[in-house]
Amino acid sequence: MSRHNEPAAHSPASDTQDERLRLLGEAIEREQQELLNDIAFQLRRSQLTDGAGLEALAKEILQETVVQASKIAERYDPAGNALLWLSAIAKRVILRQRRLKRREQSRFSLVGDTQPIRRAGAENLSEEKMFELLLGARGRAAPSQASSVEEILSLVAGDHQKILRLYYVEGLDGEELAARFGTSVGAVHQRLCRARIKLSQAYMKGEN
Amino acid sequence: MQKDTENERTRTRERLLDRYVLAIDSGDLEELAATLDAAYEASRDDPEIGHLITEINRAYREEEGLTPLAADAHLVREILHKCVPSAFDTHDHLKRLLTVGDVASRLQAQGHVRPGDDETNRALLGIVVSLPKPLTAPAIKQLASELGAGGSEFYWRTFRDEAITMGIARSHDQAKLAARARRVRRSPRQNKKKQG
Repeated sequence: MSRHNEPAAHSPASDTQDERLRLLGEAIEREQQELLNDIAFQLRRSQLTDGAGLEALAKEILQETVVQASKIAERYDPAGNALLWLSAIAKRVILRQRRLKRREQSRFSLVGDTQPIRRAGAENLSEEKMFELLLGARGRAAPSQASSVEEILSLVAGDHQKILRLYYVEGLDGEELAARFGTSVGAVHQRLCRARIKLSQAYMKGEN
Repeated sequence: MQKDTENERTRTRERLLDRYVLAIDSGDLEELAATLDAAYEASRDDPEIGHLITEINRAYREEEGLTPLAADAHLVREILHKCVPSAFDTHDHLKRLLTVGDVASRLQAQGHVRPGDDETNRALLGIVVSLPKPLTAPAIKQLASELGAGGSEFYWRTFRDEAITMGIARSHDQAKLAARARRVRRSPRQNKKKQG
């Protein structure tokens, strides 16, 4: 008879799975605050609830997200960003909630008042070369590139052009842009993305 | 060459961020979830992407004028306990020092306490005093006297043997746990490389 209580035999695979679950649990506890506020924002945007019911519904969605995450825990890879993984699950929970609500509404209303959702990403991204050129010239455009960069930037006006110029021509990064605009890094990235989308659309229009 | 790779990574990041902002602005939840899946994949090689998306989210919340909500940590923990019980197997017992009570419990469980020593062992069960280091015979004798515990010479010899064996087993478990944590924290790509 063994003199000691032997620990339960673990295969490397089950060890890894246990550790994965433990890390997932840690990640959920660490990210729950950020996730809850992200859910609240999405609910507000989706007009799923009025101001008063927002907090309660956001918490309900958070709980459902945790349940769903635990069901597909084997797909979680701790090498990636846990908040992104959890946010994707939360979005799908909200989507389901929205479909349910719409189904309920359609039962009481003969005239559907739901707005069609504009499909994102429908724009052709063949202007990729244009962005490669901007990125290649970023902060150090050769004289031969400078006129092409200017020509591209002239497709958008005002604030869009201003932020794109600072980023691509002057080579400022997120923090420098935030200091220049007196706002947060997130806000400048948001503006930068919107400006790039506008530029992309203008470029496509010009090509057609 | 390195500059090209960096530009490629930056462009991938930009494309994902643009797609993310476009999906939020157009209210397309399906596209948003798909973009987050793609961003999660990308975050294995580019940790910056997660950080930037968090920053962008905060900017949106500010734009929307949302008051930050406080998560109900207790409730989330309860759900986790129910759904992912092994998430709470923290192996805390491996992190704390062995105590007199731990050894006494083991001796009792193994049936290694002679009838004349059972009262002494019972009295030691709840003692949370850490074991001396190193576990020499004089150190154990000193411990017994400090605790005012009786017991035969045989009992304390067995106690010391058991304490040494438990210490070795714990070091072994700690090493295994650390190796397991390293294995999981490595990316799948690194794990494959290691296996290959």
